[in-house]
Amino acid sequence: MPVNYEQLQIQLKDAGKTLRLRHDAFSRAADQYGSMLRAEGGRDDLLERIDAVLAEKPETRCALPGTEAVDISRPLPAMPPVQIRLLACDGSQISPSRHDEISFGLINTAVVELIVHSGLTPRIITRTRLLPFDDLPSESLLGIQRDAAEKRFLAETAAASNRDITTFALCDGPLELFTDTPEMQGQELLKAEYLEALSQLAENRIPAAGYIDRPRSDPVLRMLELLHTGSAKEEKTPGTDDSMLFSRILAPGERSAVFGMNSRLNRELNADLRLCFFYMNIGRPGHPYISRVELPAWAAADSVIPDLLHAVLIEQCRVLGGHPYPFILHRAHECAVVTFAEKEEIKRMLIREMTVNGLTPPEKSNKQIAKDLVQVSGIRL
Amino acid sequence: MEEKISYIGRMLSANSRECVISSLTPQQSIPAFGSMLRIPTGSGQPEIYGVVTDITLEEDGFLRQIASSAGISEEVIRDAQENRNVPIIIRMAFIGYMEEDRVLHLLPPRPPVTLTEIYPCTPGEICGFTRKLGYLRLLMNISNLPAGELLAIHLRNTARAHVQLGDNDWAQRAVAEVMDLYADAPNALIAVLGAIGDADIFE
Amino acid sequence: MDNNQIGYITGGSLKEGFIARLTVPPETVQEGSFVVVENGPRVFYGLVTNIKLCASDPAFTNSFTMARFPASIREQLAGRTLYTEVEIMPALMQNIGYSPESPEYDPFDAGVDPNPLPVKMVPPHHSPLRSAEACDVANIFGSPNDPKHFEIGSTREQGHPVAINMEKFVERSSGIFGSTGTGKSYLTRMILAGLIRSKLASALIFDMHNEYAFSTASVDSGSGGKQVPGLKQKLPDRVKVCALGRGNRINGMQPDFDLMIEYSDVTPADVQMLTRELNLRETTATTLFALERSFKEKWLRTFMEMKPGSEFGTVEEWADANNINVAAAESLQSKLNRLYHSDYMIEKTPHNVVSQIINALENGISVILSFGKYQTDLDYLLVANILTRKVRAEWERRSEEYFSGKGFSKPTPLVVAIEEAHKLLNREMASQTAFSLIAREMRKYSVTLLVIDQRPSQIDDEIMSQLGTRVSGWLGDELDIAAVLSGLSGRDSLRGMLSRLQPKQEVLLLGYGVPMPLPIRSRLYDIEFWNRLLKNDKKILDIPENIPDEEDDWMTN
Repeated sequence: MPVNYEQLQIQLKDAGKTLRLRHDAFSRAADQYGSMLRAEGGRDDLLERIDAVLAEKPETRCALPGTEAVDISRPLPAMPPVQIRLLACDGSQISPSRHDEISFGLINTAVVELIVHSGLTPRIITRTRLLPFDDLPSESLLGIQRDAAEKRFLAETAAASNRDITTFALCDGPLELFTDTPEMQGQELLKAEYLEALSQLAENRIPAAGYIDRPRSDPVLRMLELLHTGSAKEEKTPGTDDSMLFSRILAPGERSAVFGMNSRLNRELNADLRLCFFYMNIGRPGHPYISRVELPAWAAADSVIPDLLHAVLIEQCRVLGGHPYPFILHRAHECAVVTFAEKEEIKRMLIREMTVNGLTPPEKSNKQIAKDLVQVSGIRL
Repeated sequence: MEEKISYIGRMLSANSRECVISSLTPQQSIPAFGSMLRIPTGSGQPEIYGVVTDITLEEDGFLRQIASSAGISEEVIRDAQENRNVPIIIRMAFIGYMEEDRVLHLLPPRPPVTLTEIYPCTPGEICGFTRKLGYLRLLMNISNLPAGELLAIHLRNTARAHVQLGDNDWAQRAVAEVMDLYADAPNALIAVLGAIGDADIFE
Repeated sequence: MDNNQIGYITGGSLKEGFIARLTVPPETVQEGSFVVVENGPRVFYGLVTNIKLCASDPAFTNSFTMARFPASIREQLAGRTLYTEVEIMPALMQNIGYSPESPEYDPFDAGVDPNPLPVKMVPPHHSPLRSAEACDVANIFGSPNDPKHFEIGSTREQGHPVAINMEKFVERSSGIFGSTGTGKSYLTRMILAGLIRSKLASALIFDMHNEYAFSTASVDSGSGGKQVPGLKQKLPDRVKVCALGRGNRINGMQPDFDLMIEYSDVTPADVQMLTRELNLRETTATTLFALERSFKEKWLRTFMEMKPGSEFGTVEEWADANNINVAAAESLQSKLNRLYHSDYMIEKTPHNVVSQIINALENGISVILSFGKYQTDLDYLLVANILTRKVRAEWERRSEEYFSGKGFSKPTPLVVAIEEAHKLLNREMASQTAFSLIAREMRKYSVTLLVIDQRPSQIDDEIMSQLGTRVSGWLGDELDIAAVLSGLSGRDSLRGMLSRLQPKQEVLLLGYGVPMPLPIRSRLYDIEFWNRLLKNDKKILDIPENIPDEEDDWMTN
C-alpha cells in the first residue's frame, strides 16, 4: 500500500510548527539549566543536599557531583607523545529467524588493537560463536548476551596484552548493563559474567570506557532539578536532556566535570567499579556535538586518566573528519559486523554439514522466498 | 575446505564476452591486471579462461571521510591499507575455454552461472592454455582499455610461466603473432610494441 | 620448396615484368642477376632489372621509431615489415613438364618442349624464385664444352660459365663495345681466339694498332708492361699475319707476307672516302670520275704523273679537254700526293698478295692485317676498304657461283673484324665503304662484320640495328648506350644495367645472337685462358715470358 501523501501533507505542516515551539521551549529550559549549573558550581554543599533528597528516594537516577566543580569546562589537554594502547570491542549477531531454511544464532565479536604513536598496523582479532540450538534466545536477550560477550572479550584481550604502556579498553555504548529489563530475569550468570569482565579490567588497572554518541539521557538535569526543588519529584522539563545543556556550556574539544551516578546497579557495585561519566563537545565552532564517556570510579578518581581519555578520544574522533566518531570504535564495528553474504555463506556451510549427516536440506519459508525475489543485485555490467 | 583458500572471488554478472567478479581478498593479494583466471567446469559448462582487464577498489564512505581529514596517523593509514576489506570488483574478459581436454580459443558458448567461484591459473594451466596463440586475437579486441597495456603485461606474465616450464621461445612466437594480428594497423602495432618493449618480456 | 629459393612472385605483368619479394638479404641479389621462376612444368628465365626496398608501412622505416624497441622486437618487426622487392624482366620460358616425382607427371605430355620460348604467360603468385644455376645457364646459353660454343665469361654472382654460340655469332654481324679502358681489345682477342679455334669461320682482322698477332707490352700501368700472347703465337697454323708495306716487322716478328697496294687498286670511290683525311673539296667527285672515264683503272698513276704546265699530258690540258676546273684538278693532284707516295703503293706487286689472303681465308685460315708503322687514319681507311672490297667481291662471286650451281662449295664463312669501326661506318661514309655493304646485305654471301668500337653512337644507325650479337662493356655516354641498344626490346631496363656495369671485366651480352640479355664477368685474357682453350689441341706453343698471372688484374688495351 503506497503512502497517502495527501493526508501526510497537512500533518507535516503541523509537525513543523510543533517542532519549532518545542525547540524554543527547550532552548529556554536549557538556558535556565545553564544558570542553575553555574549557580551550583560555586557551592560546596551539593553532595549533602543531594544525599538529603536521596535519603527519601534512594533509587532516583541522577548524576552526582565529583571532585571537580559541576560547571567547569576542561579544555582539551595536549596529547602526550607516548605510545598508548587502545583496545576497542564491538559485536554483532545473527538472530534466529523461523523464516530461514534453518534457524540459528551467532555472536561475532571483534577487538581492534591500535597503539597510538607506534606506526604499527592495528591488529584485529575476531571471535565467532554459534549459539546452541536447544536454547535459542529472543532477539533482545541475544543483544544482552552479545554485550556481555564483548566486555568479556575486551577484558580477556586487555589482560593478555603487554602492561608496559597505558592501555584503554573502549566499547561502543554504555558500560552499564541494564539489569532491570524483563529479559534479565533469572540471567544471573550473564550478569556475573559481565561484572567479572569489569572487575578483571579494574584489577589489571586498565580503564574501561564506554562511548555514547549523541546521548539522550538527562542525569545532570535531574540532579539540578533535585538540587533546585529539594525533592525527588519529577519536575524536569520533558524532552530536555544533558546534551542540550552541555552544548551551551562546552566549547569544541572541551569536557565537562566527571560526574558520579546514582543508580540501582551502581549502588550494588563496589565503589571502585561504580560508573562515572563526563560529556565532551566533539563538534566544531557553531556546531556543538555532545558525546558521553563512561568510566569506572577508580579511573575517574585517577589524576591522569580522565584527561588522557579525553585527549585520546578527541584525537580518535578527528580521524573521521567532518563526522567525528572514534576511529577505533568504528573499525571494531566494521570488523564485527556479519554481512548478509557472510550469513548466507555460514548457512550454506551449516546446511552442508546437515547433508553430510544424512539430513534433507531444509528450505526457506515461503514468505522469505517471496521477499528474496525483490532483492536486486547492486552491481551490473 | 582447502579449495576455499585459493578462489579469489565469486562471479556477480556476466555476458558472452566478460564477467564481473566480487572479491573481498585483501588488497595485496588480489589477482594482477592481465593475469589469467579460470572458472571451473560445472553445471554443464566448460572450464572458462579469461584475463583480468580491470580492477576497481570500490569506494567506501568511511575511507572518504578519513581521506578528507587532516593529519591522519600512520596507524590509521596502515589499518586502511592492510586490514580493511574494501570491496574489490574484478572484470575478467573471456579468452577461451576447455572442452573435453581440448583448448578452444573462442568465446564460451554460455556465460558462467552467477556466484561461481573464480580461481587464479597455475603456471601449468597458463602454459596449457596459451601454447597456441589464437586467443591473442580475442585479447587484442578487448575494448575500453589501452590494448598495448593489457597485451604487454599478459605477455610478460605468460612468458615467465612458459620459461618456468622450459619453453624459452614462447615470447618470441607471441610477439610474432601480435605483429601478424596488427599487420594492417601499423600505428596501433607501434603503440602495442612500445608497451611490450617496456614490459621487458625477453629478460 | 627449393632450398636455393631467394624469393617468391608477388605480382607483375608481361609488359612491366614480374615482381618478386625476396626472402634473403637485399645484398644477395644485384641488378642483372639471372633468376629462374619455376612453377610446375614451366620455367621462366629473367633478369633482375630493379631492386626496391619496401616497407609494409612507412612508419617502420623510421629508425627512431624502431630504436624505441628492444633489439629482439626490432629484429622481428623488421623481418615482418621491411622487405626487398625485385623487378624481373622475363626473357624466356620453357615447358619442361612435371618432374617424375610429381603426381602430375606425364611421360607423354605433348606440351613439353625443351626449347626456350619467348615469355607469353606469367607465373602464378607465390611461385618460387631462385638464382640461376650452372645448368640453367647452360640450358639457355649452351654448354661451354660444346665445340660450337665459346665460354666468354661467367655470371656475376655465382660464377656459372656463360657461353656464346659461335655459329650464331658469325651468322650476322656482331659488335664489341665499351669505353676505352674497359678491356674491349682483350675481349676481342678472346672472342677471335674462340672463333678461330671453332673453325666455324675465318677472320680477316684489321689490326690498326698491331695488337692481335703477337704479344705486346700492355699499357696497363698495373701490369708493369707484361707480355700478352698474340693469336699468331698461340694458333700459328690457323693464323697468317700480313704486314702492310714491304719488309716491315710487326712487334719485331716476321709476318707471313707483305701487302702492297697497286695504284690501279684505288678507285675514285676510295679517294672520296678519304675526303676528310685529304681535305678534299666537294667538286672533287666530278674530277675523280672524269679521271676514271679518261684513264680507266690507271687513272691514279696517269693523273699523278701529269706534269705542270699547259702542254699535252699536263693537268691543265687534260682538264680543259674534259671540261674540268683546272684549279680544282691541280689542287686534287697536289692533295693526292700523300696517298700516291705512300710506301705501300706500287705500280705492280711481284706476288698477288690479295689472292694469297683470299686463299688463306677460303681455306679457313684467318688473316691479321697489321698496319705496322702506318698508323694514320688515311692508311687504315684506304687499305681496309680496298682489301675488304676485293675480298667481298670474291665472296660475292663465289657465292653467286655456288647459288647458280657452278661452284662446288659454299664459300667459307668470313668475319671481317674492324677496330675503330666508326671511322669506316660513320653516317657520312655509310653509303661509300665496302663495310657498310657487308653489314647491310652480305649475310647471304657468308661475310659478316665484327665491329669493335668505343663510340658506337658514331656508327650509322642502320648498321648498328643490323648487329646480331652485341657484347658491351661499360659506356659512359648516353648516346653510345642508346646506340648499343638500338632495335632491342627492354631498352629501358638494359640501359640502366649497361650504365652500371663495373668499368672493367663486366660486360653485357645482348642482341639477337644471344638467347637473352645477360651481364657477365668476362674471362681473363691470360695463360689460363689459352691453356683451357687449347687443352684438347695436341700442340701447344711455348708460352712467351711474362704472361700475367691468374691473380693479375684484368688488363686493358
